[in-house]
Amino acid sequence: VNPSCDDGDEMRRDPELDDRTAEDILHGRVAALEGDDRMLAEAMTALRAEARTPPRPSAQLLEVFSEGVGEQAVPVACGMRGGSRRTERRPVARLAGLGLLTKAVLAGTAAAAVAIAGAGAAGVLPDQPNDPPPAGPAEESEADVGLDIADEATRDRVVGQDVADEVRQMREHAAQRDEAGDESGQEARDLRGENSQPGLDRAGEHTDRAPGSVPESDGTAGERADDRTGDTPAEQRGSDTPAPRAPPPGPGTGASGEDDGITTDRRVEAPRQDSDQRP
Amino acid sequence: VARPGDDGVAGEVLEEVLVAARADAPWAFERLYSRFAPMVAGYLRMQGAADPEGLTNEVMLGVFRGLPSFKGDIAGFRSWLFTIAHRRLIDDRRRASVRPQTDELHRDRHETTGGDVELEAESQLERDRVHALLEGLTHEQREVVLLRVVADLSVEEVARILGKRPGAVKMLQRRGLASLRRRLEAEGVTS
Repeated sequence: VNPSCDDGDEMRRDPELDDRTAEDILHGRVAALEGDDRMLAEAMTALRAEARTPPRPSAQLLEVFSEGVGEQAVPVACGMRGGSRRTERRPVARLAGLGLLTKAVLAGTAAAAVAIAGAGAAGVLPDQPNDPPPAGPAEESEADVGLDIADEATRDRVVGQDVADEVRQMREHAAQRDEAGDESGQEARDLRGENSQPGLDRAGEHTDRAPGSVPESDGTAGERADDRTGDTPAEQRGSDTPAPRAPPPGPGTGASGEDDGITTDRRVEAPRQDSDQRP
Repeated sequence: VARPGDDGVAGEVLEEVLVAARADAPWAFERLYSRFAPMVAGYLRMQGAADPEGLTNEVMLGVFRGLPSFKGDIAGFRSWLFTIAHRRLIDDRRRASVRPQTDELHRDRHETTGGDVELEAESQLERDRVHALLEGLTHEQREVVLLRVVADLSVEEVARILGKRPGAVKMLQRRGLASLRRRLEAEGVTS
């Protein structure tokens, strides 16, 4: 023991390993080494040889070997089943979910925009910016209303659907009462624009536009919601649920099976509490 | 018809196998499995996984299912594969509520189905020796050494998998190798 109380044998320092020597050892380049480092490289070779015994593939893997992954494929970047399906369907579903009227208005608006842009490029538009627009204001306001309805249905399609259903039921009920000779016809009058219930304001607007007839937009509002979802509201909400972020091939988010974005059979069969979910 | 990968599965051929697997060619999955599953199983076994074989199959199956969405070359695939294996190992430990076996590694005895008994005994001794060496490492040192040696990953790739800086990985690697060298020296003295 030296004066500083260090035992010479216990406290001796290992000779420093430089990066190159470390790489030679790790890759088992015995020829480039000597002494203890060579023994270390041989141990690394033995370590590598330890990982050459193939395990027996499971029945599911054997199925993959014979038939491929097929529909078992899970998107890596999504981390949950059906994620890519949602990604692919979303723009299509959004467009397909619009009613015929809205689609027509959108198409007309797009055509008008193209025409105006073309006319501007050709130089046939008036120079003064305050000149009245060539298109009729009625069309534009109709287009705006249509878009607003579509947006509302998009934002709260469940409420929109409820309103449409409620209006439809009340209208049928009122018609039955009219046929039965009920002179009061309170509900029928309500439906013709005198209704003050907030939930039916939207229906009343459309009724005002087309009095005496079933407003087309009423039906389309509800149908729009139905068309748009194409599924049950629960499914729609589920599909809108943000998918958890998934790990790129290299770095991942946390240590968990969820993160790697892979759903394994074990997880499917017996859901377990993973450490996170990010891959 | 000769398939890519029949000739030892190395280099550019593996890239072709990977492309075929992404296109859902069944034979390519088998080829990737035979190439990488032993490495994953070895990594998990030497890390003390309770069921290294089952966990390996789980990892490989998950990787295959995610392969159509994977983008990258074979090096990226290897890194991705061990990223998943590493996370599954951690999940497996947490699920089993067992601490990482830093003192005593789980020694998975390979099944012997006949063959040369003497040769098998020798290889078992070698395996025991390797396990004994690894037992002298800390958990992090062993993780780094195994990912570098068994998975054949670079310092940067190991750093990404473990969520550490490359400098920290180099330090762990250096200390781990120094510890192994001391144990080998001790073996030489005692023997």
